[in-house]
Amino acid sequence: MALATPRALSDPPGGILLWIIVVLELLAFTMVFGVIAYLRIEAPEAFAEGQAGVDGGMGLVLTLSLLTSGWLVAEGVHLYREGPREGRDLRAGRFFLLSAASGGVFLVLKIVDYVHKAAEGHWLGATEFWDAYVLATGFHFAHVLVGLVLLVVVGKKLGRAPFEDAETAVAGTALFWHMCDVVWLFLFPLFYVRA
Amino acid sequence: MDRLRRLLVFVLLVALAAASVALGSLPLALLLAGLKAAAVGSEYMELRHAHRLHLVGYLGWVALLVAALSLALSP
Repeated sequence: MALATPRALSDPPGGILLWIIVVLELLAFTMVFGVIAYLRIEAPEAFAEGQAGVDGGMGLVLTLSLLTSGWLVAEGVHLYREGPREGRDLRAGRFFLLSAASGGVFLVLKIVDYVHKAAEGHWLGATEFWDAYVLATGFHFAHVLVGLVLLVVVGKKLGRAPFEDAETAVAGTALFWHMCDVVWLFLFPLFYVRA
Repeated sequence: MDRLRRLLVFVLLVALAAASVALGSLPLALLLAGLKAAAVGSEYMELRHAHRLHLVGYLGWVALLVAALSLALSP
């Protein structure tokens, strides 16, 4: 189960299917980053004003919850591949569920954030900043939600039922989750760090 | 050894995230975001075990993204 190094071009860790999806998602988010940059240049006042309404501390907490989640799922994949055989899959599954819990913190905090922002009138149509903020972080939120469901499903199934394609199910789910992580790493400075 | 390595990467990621907020400079924060994305890709996405082209392609995307955003958004 341990990873051979280097792997074949057609056999990336996580499986080729998930990598195709991840690459397409990263390209889509690259366009989102481009739109945010365009809006930051075109409407600097709206961006400066909008950024005064977001809390850098909250952004950091959101980042830390995703980073913790990413680390936990990486541990889960490693355990699944190379851990001691006895109870290995169940323990790996627990890491997936812990990772999902940390990702759940991100989702709950983001929902609270959206509710507060909407109550303050900081929503779509308010300014260019809030259009970009809601659409970009909302798009990312949808991906985190999908990733979270995958983590829970795989975490609960690990050690209890076999997978048809274990590499895609276990490492592929983790790969999708890390993609969400990477996207947030760029959304974070674009919205929370002032120019 | 691998476990320690992943833990160290996690500590590094947390430290870089905190530094992004503390330093308050967008170009620097984008550079740190690129470093974090590279670390996540190499270690957690396991690209250091992948075919060299996969690692190069991913790191190239990160470098281009950081360069383009930094150039566009530099004051």
